[in-house]
Amino acid sequence: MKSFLIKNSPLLVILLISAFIRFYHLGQVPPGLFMDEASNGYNAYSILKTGKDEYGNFLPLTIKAFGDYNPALSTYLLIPSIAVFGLTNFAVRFPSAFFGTLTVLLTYFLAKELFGEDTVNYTFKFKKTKIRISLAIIATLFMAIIPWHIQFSRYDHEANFLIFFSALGIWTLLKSKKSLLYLLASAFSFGLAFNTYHSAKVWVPLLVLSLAFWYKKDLLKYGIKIFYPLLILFIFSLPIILNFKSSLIRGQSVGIFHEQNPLLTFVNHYLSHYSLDFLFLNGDKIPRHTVFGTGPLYIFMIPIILIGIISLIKIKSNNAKFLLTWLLIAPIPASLANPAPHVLRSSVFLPVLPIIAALGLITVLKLSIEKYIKIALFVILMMVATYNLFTYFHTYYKHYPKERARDWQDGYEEMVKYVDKIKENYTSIAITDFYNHPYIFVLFYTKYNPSAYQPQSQDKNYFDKYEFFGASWKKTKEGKALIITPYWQPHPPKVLKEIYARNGDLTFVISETE
Amino acid sequence: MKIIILIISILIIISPHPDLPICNIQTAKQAIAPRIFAETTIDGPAQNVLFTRFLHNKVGIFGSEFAVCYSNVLNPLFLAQSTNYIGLIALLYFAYFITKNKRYILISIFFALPTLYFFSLPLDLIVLIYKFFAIIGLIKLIRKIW
Repeated sequence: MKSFLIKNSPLLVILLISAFIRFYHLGQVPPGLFMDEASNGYNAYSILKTGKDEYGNFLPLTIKAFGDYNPALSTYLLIPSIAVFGLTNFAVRFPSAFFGTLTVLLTYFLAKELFGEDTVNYTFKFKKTKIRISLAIIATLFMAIIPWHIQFSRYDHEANFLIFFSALGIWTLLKSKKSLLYLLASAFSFGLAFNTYHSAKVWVPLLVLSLAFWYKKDLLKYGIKIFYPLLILFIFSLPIILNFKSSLIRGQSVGIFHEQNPLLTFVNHYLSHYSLDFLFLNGDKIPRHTVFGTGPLYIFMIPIILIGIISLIKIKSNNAKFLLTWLLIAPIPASLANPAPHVLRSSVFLPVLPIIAALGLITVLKLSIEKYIKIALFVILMMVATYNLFTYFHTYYKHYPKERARDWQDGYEEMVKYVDKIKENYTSIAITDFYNHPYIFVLFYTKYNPSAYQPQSQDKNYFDKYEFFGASWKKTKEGKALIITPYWQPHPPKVLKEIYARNGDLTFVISETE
Repeated sequence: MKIIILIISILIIISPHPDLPICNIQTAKQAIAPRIFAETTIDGPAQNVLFTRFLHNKVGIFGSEFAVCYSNVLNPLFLAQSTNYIGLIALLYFAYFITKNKRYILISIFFALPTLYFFSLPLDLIVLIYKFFAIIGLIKLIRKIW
């Protein structure tokens, strides 16, 4: 045990760091629960309590949610966490952080499998001690600290599960040279990945085809037994096939096929995912996806990723060719939709980019140049890296919750919990829909009984004593009413409470009428 | 082969480049004061002054503004529109070729060109040099394929 700990101490330290980064203040940062998270959480809670989703569908294979019919796997993955921690922000985000940490570990095994344990590493002497740095360890470290993965490991989104199951599928497929069981496990992982997220419907087939192309020799040696993994893949594609029409709804609403020149749009979208501005400086235009002034990757990674790509081109193995293919196909799912570039939909760049960056760093370290030049380069890289890391984490934990509070629908939790405490005094509670889908936040934060809600689920304008209004609200019931308006809307003069978002903006005004 | 090179080269030369947002030393300097004000306001007075200065300083902000200007020119979409899509492939091959063959002067020019835009040099000139590189890349690529 002791020797295991000593031997694997760098990996264990990285995993601890990775877990700390992902779990620290998970319920509070990002600020507030986004409506998709609240919807996934409540549907998981509903399935846990009744076996049915919010609409009363028994063990659904797709989740209707706000009408986009998401694949259901990511909702089911929340159930154990909600069963243990209850229906809270932390419980909803826990599986994402947990799978995110596991993906960091998986990056290690994947890099090790792709490059071998001993072939790609760098050894140097420090005070008579030989220190050996392996590519796999550097790749794992990069995966643990890059904003791209941290950002999506800290909130509940299907894409994070897609990254995990894709990486697991690739790793087990690479191991399948040894045993058919690995191949079956790979098919199982890809099958699960297929049911995580809309873009998986494009990504998983692309990835499986690329793997089949580069490793066809290894796969064909199984002869007729190759039928078994194909059968598994087919079974896992059934939820999509059986709900084909509804599965297309989201794709149709964001897809590029209604554009005037879809091919040109696709090419432009595709290229935009390789811009320095997108990858290293600012990310995309969706405020939730990146922190201000930092891209999904760090600036210090620019030179090492470039060197890594060149090194990869020079390596003639199938593994290197597969990694290059991965790098080229990763933006395809995101390029088929609007807007682009899109950090979330192109997150399948992970973990290939950290692996390539690690290869680049090892290549630099192994360069046969003067020792002092190497030390100088390393020191410059470390200085930039330190500045990048400090800036990112500071911005993420301190600035982001304030700057992006409105984008995360901050204010709903405080408002609903306050209303829940005093709701018995009123015959009707009218809540503005100015900040989108208020009903789901009421359901979530009041832990509303799912079996009581399911029969009322078709009309999203009201349930129980709650009513949701747009431009104006008209009183229809006798007795006192509680009105929750946005900051700009006229309201009754008797104000009970004002709710402010973390950026200081007035979000809700709670007032009562006779 | 020569005809193909000639036709594609003409396409590369005649492709008009789109305009880029104005981005130079002046705009970078202008961004410093409001950004420092906005960022330090969020940090608040309770935070250690040295720490605030380390994270939100003139050099850092100027550097990030420079990086944005630089990335605008080296944006694959901009290069594709300036040299057309085949030209972009040829340009990428040129970059790969000079790196593989360790042509350090050309590598330096290739990556230093976008900085000229930051120093207010005309974009037309920079694009013209990239078009020239793309044509060289095209010749090398077609020769290799042939």
